[in-house]
Amino acid sequence: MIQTNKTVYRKFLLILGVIALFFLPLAVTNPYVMYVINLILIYTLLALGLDLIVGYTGQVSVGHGAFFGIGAYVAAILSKNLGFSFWVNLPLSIIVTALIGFIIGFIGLKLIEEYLVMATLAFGTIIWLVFLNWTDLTGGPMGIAGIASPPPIKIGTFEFVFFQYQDYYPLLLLFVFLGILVTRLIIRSGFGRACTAIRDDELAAQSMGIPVFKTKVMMFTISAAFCGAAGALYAHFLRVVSPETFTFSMSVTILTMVMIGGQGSIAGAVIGASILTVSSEVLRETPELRMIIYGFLIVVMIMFFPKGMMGLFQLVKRRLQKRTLQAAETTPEKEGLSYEH
Amino acid sequence: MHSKKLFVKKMVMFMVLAFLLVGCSAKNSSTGSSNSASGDTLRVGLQAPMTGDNAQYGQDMKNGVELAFKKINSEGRINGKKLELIVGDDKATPSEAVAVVNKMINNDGVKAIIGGYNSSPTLASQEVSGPAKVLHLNMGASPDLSKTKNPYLFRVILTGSVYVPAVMNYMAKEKNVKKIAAIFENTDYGITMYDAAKQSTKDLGVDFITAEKYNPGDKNFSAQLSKIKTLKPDAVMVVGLYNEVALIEQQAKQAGLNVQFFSPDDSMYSEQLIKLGGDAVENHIFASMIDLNANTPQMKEFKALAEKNNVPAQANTAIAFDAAMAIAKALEKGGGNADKDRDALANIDISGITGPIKFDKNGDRSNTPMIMQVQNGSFKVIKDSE
Amino acid sequence: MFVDQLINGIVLGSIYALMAIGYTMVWNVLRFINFAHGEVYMGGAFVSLYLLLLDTPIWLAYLGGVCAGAFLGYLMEKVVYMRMRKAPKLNLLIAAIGISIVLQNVAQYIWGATPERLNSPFLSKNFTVGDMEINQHYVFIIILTILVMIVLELFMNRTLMGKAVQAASQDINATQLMGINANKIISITFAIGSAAGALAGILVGPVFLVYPTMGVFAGLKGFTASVMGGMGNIPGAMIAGLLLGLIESFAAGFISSGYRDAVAMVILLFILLVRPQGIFGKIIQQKV
Repeated sequence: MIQTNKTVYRKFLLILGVIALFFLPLAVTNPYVMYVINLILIYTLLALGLDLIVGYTGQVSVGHGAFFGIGAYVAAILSKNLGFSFWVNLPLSIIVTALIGFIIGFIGLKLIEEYLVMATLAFGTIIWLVFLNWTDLTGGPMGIAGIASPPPIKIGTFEFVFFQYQDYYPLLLLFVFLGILVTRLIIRSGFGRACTAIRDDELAAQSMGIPVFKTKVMMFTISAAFCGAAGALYAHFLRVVSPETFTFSMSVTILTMVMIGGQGSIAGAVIGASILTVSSEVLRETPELRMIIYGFLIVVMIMFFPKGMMGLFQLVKRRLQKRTLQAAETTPEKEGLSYEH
Repeated sequence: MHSKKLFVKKMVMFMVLAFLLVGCSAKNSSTGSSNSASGDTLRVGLQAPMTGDNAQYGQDMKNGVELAFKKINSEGRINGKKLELIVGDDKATPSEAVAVVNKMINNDGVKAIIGGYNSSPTLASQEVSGPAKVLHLNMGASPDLSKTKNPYLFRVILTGSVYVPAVMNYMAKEKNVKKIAAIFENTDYGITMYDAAKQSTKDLGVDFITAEKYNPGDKNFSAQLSKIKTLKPDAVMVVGLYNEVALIEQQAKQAGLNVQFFSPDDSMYSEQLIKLGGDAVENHIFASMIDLNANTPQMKEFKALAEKNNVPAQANTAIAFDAAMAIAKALEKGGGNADKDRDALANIDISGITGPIKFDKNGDRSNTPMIMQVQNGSFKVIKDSE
Repeated sequence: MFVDQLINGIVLGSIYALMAIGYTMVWNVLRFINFAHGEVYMGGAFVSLYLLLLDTPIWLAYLGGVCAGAFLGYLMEKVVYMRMRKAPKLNLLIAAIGISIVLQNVAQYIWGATPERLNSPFLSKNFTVGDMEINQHYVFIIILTILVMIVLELFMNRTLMGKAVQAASQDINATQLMGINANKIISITFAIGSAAGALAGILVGPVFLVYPTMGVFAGLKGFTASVMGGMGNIPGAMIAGLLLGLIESFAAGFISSGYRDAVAMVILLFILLVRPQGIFGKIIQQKV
């Protein structure tokens, strides 16, 4: 009885928190802070997508920066050349990226471990070189500037326009929540459990009758689609795309977010994206030392917290539980207190 | 017990990292969050490449702007306000330029932006500064920068459509060049400069026999150069920055391609060109808006100031100095109102190191360039500006 | 045009071969791709450049650069990788990339981002053969690379230390049981591989200049060459490096220079999918 009350209470709090998040722009007046928050949201979507294949399926990709780029470039090219609006570009970006993700997955996922890392690296670099050299379509090193912002949305008397960063925020937040929802649905489905089985022991999964290759390719495609969505949002948010954003280092940044947040965890993706984006922006204040500290942070975090921040939190939680248990054993009179939490 | 030790170690590590970040952000809030001008300071941004292959240009520009601000702050300031420089690294890339200009305008509250150096990042970032009504005085060479219809965008250097005919004329008339091979940077700058050059060939009776491209940051030009070599041109036009120009000419010499090299503008006017290129860049011809050996009072004053502050007097330093002086003048006259500042800059008429500073309706200057050549490891004027 | 590209290809190939040695040797003992290897290439070149500024004789400056590169590789292993022996390979990969970011930016902090030319006594002279001109520095690169290959082969096959490294690459745990200090072997491997990488950086310094991000693409090519040669196969890596340089050079000359780097990546993919053991590798059954 108490248990159900507690879950209802928790759910209520969660919903309240989600609603409160949408009203964040009322509290944040500095447009630059809003800009950084928006960046975090885009990166969260990317980290969620990559985590599907790395964290839940155990297949490492260092080519997801290219998928992000494909999403962004598809949206930019359609917007610039054909004048399509954001709402048309978004699904098209997702479809194209998923398609390319499917092809690459189909070719590359026959490989395992380090060889898969190498193959995704090669694919990512080739796609980046296409961005850089197909000047007629992608603008080459100049990229594409002046991408239209999303058209206003009218709901009854309310009109949502997209001029400033706080206007984009609810849109991006909505997509992040959608991403989280989809991720939860996938990992709780039979398909998701098949993926986890592959991650934990591929051979065992195969002998249980899971179509390993097919499952991996499916998940890889979905993962690419997430990045495609993030790319379209990015293109219409920043309103400029250029090739150097989507190099190997972008792929690595996303992977680092997943690792530092903690693999196979939705909260981890959010935390990882926040930590890396905020530290990268905060460090702009010391431009000479910025990347040195940033790189140092990555090395130290990965050395000392191999399971990421979520791993650390779990450690803390376990510690606390142990302590409360110990406390409960030694001082029985406080028993009631410790159970309330 | 072992796990406890490990736990303590991890927690300590976590605290250290957290403190490191908080420490950095604390520094951030002490300098940054005091949004916009706090009473007696006026903030001006510099958008320039501070890291990467083009960092030398950014450093030169920063030196120039700092010299100018030091001079102004020591001589009476701007309506009693001190000028403060906010440096933003655009890494010579469009997306980073947009991000950093955003930060400078929204977080630091800059009243004006000097830079960027490269055309493509400037074309991208002026879309942010334009709607925000922030003055943007850039140093890009692409003729496209005249076509933006952004009333707040001005350009302190000459436009490519002035540079190119000057040098093409010289090459055709004085050097009797007929067949030219072009090798240019695959960016707004390189492409538009090449287009302008191609347009001017009709009247001059010269011909471009080939046009090879390279991407910024490329270091190996052997493929393009051996193609050019087989076509036996009279001269080679290189559109690029000093790194690439020096490397291209060096590698051309290594491949045995010994012809006259020239560039349409002064993007490679830097001591670095001679340092990197050595003998290979000897005789290189280019059009320039500035001569660092000119005998004008402004140049003398600038050089004395540079020497006093231990700053190398490079061409870009001088141009950035002029840009900073023009911006300061406009801010003084406009008094901080965006539209009045703009009008003040549009109607400015001062004489700088680079000659008279005046802007036409596109925000461009209409001075004419001179022709310069590398002779015995230094830059000599071989044809004065008209 | 053909001969031009041939010479360019051999020069590039020599550099890739030298880079590939480092990747392949580290793979041998630790089974991971040291993505920070490109920074050794950069570090060695910068140290040489710095020594030349101090008026050191050229040969000493080059040697100093090579030693500094070896030390940098050793340091990477001792400070970071050694503490991560039990961590998953993915963590090592991220750590390597973190190191790479740190080193690139430390170099920029100390020496600035401006590309600098490393001096070479041969650069400004050309050999003339018929109507062909060959730069003397290119010849110097080729000769030195061949020399390094011979010395490395002798070291691996004729010395006790070399044999220990070979044994370690077959099974590092068994080697340890045999009374060989595995950590020492790993350190030596890192030092030798890094020295070769640093030498590559020093040799290209006069041609393609020295700057903080110079190692990124050289690293990628060296890594591709090591996969081509079969991960862990040292002579294979060297030959594959040469081959890669030649293919790239001809592709750039006759197809498109913009896609020069894509050629290497396409080859990498092709090798991975069709012959993951490399051109010269033996098939090893996947252990379950």
